[in-house]
Amino acid sequence: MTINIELYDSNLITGSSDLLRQSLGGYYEVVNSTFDTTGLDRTLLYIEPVTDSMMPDLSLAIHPTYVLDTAHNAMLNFSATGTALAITSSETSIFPYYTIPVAIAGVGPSVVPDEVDELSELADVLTSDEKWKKYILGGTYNTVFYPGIYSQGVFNVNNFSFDLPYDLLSAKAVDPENYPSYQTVERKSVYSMHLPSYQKFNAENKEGDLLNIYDLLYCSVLDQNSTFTAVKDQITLGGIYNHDTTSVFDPEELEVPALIKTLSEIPPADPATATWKYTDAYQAIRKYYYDYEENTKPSGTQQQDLFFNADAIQDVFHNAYINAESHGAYYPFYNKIGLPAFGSGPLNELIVETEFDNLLLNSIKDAFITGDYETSENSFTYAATDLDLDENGELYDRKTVTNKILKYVDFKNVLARVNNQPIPLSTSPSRFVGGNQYINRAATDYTGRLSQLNKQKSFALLDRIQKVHLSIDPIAPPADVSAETYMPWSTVADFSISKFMDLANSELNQKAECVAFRINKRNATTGEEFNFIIQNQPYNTYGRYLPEDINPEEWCYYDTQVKYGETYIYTTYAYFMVVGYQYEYADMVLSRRISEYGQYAASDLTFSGTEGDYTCIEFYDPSTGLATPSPMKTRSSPHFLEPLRINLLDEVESEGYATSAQELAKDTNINWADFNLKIEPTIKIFEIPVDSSPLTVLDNPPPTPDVQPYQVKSQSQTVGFYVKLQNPPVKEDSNRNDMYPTPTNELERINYARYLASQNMLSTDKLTLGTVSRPSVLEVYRLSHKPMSMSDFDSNLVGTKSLIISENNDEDNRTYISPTCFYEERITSGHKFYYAFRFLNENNMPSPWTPVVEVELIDDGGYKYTNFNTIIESELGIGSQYEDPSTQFKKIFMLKPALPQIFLSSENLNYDETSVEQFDNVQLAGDLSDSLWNKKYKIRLTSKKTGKKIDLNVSYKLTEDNSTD
Amino acid sequence: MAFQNKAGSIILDATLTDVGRRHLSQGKLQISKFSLGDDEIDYSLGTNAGGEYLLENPPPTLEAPANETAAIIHGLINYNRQDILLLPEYKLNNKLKNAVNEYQKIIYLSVNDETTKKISTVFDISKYLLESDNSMKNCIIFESGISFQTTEGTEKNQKRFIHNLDLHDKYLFVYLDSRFFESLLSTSLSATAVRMDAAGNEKSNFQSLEQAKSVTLTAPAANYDTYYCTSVMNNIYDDSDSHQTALSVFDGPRGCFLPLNFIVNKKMKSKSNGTADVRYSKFGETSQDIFGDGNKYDYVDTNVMIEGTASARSQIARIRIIRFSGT
Repeated sequence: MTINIELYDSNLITGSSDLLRQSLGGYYEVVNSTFDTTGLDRTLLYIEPVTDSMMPDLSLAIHPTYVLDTAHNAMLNFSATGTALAITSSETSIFPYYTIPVAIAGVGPSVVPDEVDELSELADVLTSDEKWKKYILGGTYNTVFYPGIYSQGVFNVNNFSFDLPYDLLSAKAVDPENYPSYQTVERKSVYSMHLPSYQKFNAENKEGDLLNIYDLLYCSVLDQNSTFTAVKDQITLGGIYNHDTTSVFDPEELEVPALIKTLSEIPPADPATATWKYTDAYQAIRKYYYDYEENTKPSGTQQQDLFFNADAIQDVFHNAYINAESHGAYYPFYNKIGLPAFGSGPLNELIVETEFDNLLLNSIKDAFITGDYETSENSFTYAATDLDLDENGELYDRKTVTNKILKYVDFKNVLARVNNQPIPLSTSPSRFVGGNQYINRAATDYTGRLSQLNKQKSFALLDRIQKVHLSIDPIAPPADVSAETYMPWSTVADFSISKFMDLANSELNQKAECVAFRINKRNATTGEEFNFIIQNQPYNTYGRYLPEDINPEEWCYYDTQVKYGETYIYTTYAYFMVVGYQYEYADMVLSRRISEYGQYAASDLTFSGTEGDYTCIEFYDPSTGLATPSPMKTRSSPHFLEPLRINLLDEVESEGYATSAQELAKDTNINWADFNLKIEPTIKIFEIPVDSSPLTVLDNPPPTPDVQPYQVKSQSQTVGFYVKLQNPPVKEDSNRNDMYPTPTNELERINYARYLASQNMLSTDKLTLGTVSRPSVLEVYRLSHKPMSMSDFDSNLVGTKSLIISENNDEDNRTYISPTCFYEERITSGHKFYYAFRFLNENNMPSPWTPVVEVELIDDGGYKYTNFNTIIESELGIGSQYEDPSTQFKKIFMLKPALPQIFLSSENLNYDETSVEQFDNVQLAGDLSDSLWNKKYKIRLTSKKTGKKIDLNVSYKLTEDNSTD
Repeated sequence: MAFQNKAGSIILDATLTDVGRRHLSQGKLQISKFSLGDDEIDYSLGTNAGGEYLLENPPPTLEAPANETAAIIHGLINYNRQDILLLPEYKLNNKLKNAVNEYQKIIYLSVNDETTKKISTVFDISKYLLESDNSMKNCIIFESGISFQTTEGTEKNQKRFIHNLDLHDKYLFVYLDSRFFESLLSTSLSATAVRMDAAGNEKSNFQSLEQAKSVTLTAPAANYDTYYCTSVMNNIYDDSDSHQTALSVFDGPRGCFLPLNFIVNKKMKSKSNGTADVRYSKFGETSQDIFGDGNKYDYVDTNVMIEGTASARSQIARIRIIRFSGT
């Protein structure tokens, strides 16, 4: 599954300035997508041109089947075309162009012009020459505005389409279960080896001084002596290495286990005299990297733009893949930028066979990077179909239509320039990767000494284009190429204006091929930019290939000239060579009546075989008003329009009574607009940005610490934690069950986002890779209150423990660690503390957090013990969990008011009365200044053992009961 | 947990803690790690024909132990590399200065000076006797390393066979029977390494020993206390004169040393004119003329177990706690 992209020139869309196309059909309307449930999706509906006829046949008159713009075509009757004139080349063009006369007839007057009334003037009825003129050219006639159906100008058609693979992360987000079945392009960062001094070298120097793995591969796998001298010096480290005799990619047999990973173990033939052998794939390459940083003297120059032509791709791309992923991770760290496999056909084959590829790549640089070639912009309507989720979470075909402006260079100008001045335009730093053959040097040789080679190659290409691809009569073309392939209008015998308009709907990708890619790399910090220009010739192809034949894993660029932790933004551009065409309407003339309507009967004419009445008309240039012969050349054989139109010169008995601009028009066909349609093929190279991804090389998180809390058995009030690496610290750990560690501050959140983006991970994905550098430090965080989230631990680091035993990193050693450690602290009793732990590896990448350990030291009358409780991250912030909201306990104390508080005062009593009468005179604690009655008291009990507290709220309420029962 | 193999279906019997039951009731119980062991299997009851080990009778069906101290002693160990062919092991080193030797396959630990004095007439106490509480004299020294065919004890081999494979035990657990020992003496923070100079002399700084910490981490057996100790590096490397053979018990790459001495329960340290602690009669023997010299001794035999935290390798030393009880 891919994303289908269709690009249409904007003048083929409703409302464009090509008024004739709007009138006749052969354009697109933006409409709602039928698959859409949101009402937001759009797609393009093709409006077919209505049928017309070469020869007039009123039965074929326009009866629109489709809803056309009536403002444009209401008064059109039919059109006709004359004999096409094809010119193979001229002073103005190196490609053949065609001139085809076209006549458009207006709807005949349903009202005799001399009997026009007010109503017919306002209706779509041709009542006069002036109305016809306004109708054709646009304007207001008798208060009615006519938009016109004719517009001068040059219109381009470069429609093309391609299938774009999904970005891996997008496919995962849309279809998590089935995304492996999608065609995807992967961009990711890979960290494979921790070589501290090599990493430091990269960090301190410009990208141009960093090792380009393709140079090393070329020297090591092919021939170090056939590459450029500067490259050879850099890769051999000034002659220290001879890659022709020993490959740094070869494994070595050692008597000790490999530093990182042993490929195989070989038992000794005689254990008494020999030891086991261990095969280390990376011993030699590791040494080379250390030697590289030691022996490379940085030049401080900017990184050159690099060209990869078809030969270089065949030489190094496959090997780059083999040594990156297939055989193992031989590069310390890199960014991988996958390229789409668009396929290639006759145009790519042409470039390869004529060896124009170097000049092509250099021209792309000169046009789109340095701007030495003039580029223009073309407005396209961009229609995409991809899979997305609807509002119910179901997959559906999403269709979107947007406007896109693409930059392009006219390849005709490039060819002309290289032919005429075969010296490269730009002198910006660039070079070809691979051999230093003349042909590679010529394309970038600004001295001009090798310009003859450039001229040869460009001439060969131009010659082939003229004789084969853009030839009316191709010489030995490929099986799938004919004159119609790139010039479908060239079959003049069948030409009609409707067929021409209908070319807008032809196979879109037939005449467009991706010829190259450019990966623009921008350092997000410094803003420096670098470019890798790669021909669209994946490994094992020669000229043509089908997308399905390409291993997408292999069709990618490995950028090793990067710094650890630095974000680079890679923008991939595809360059499509599009054979399109441009057309224009020119030499427009209009008819005007110069006799009475139907003044001449057919029988009066010398022209035979017709009936009806004729009106004498004259063609004139509407811009000057001067009489001008029609481009239809009605007087010349084969007299296309007879008997509808008869040139007056053919009827007059002698010269001088008429001009060739004057004609006789039959019956109602008195309104004509004639012009020339000029068509010329074009070859343009369009730049299409297909992806932009920020990538940052980061190490992977180390394993989660496995923490066992304990208490030291003494009176020291010391608690401790026994910590060990929970999982084997290996790079590829498909069994990891943890997520990326929860970030606690802004810097960590940035790294979190960068890591996920560089690993094509969603926030819900689990980690799949283990740390490469060693876990080296344990961080201990502590809070004295219960955290609501792991972010609460930020800035509460209370201790670190180093795991490092030794760290003398070289080709034989890496950092050695103890996978276990202990951390202890003295704490106060009766208070809960919350601990969280994580490892940092040598690149300071944090591990996932441990569960929070709640620690409470309890002093039970001198006997001290500790309660440990574990809180997993998902339980943080949930709130208190009251497991036992009530509990029973024995009566351990009794509250009893002091005697004065319950003493009844009889001072005011009259014992002569009845008790009921004297009830209100009884007072309780009446003499006390501080009575407890009707007051609340709080009694707090604090356990001396545990420090736990319980509050008892007591209210003393005085109630009266004076009932006599 | 325990596996119960019943006629083809395997039942995993598990005892959950309170927290575990709570999580189970909330549907949150997730087993994130587990250990496997086969302590209950007596392999002497089976045959090893054809490379496949078969028990003659099915092993017993076990219930899941609920005892917190029911740790796995002989568990499966997960190492981080596939190319670990050689594992370091622990041996008693009897070559370093102050390294105690076994006497008749057991290490004698004297509880008081009176006992030491009496035993000195039996054997060379400078070689064969530990003295309780003594941090400067003899100690039991465990040495880790590899002896395998022609693999040499070079520094490179130490780094590649041990350090690089995360098998270096910087820390070790020591398990002592809490009924007999009050504390443990081991390395101090200033102790770093044992090395050998060019003349083959031992250079070490692990003494004097200091008290190790007893912690509440679970020991593999009941009544045992867990201590953790820091080892010292074993930087003895082969030289051309094979001096290393005088200091190390390993021919191949070496890992670390762990020197230990003990502080015996003070009730067991009474002199002969005092009352013998009941532990001698309950767990050992009393008034035994074990050396045939007419002196009688009370003694208790016990084990000291060490376990490397990185390598998970363990070793047990037999200790005889001995007290002179009279003639």
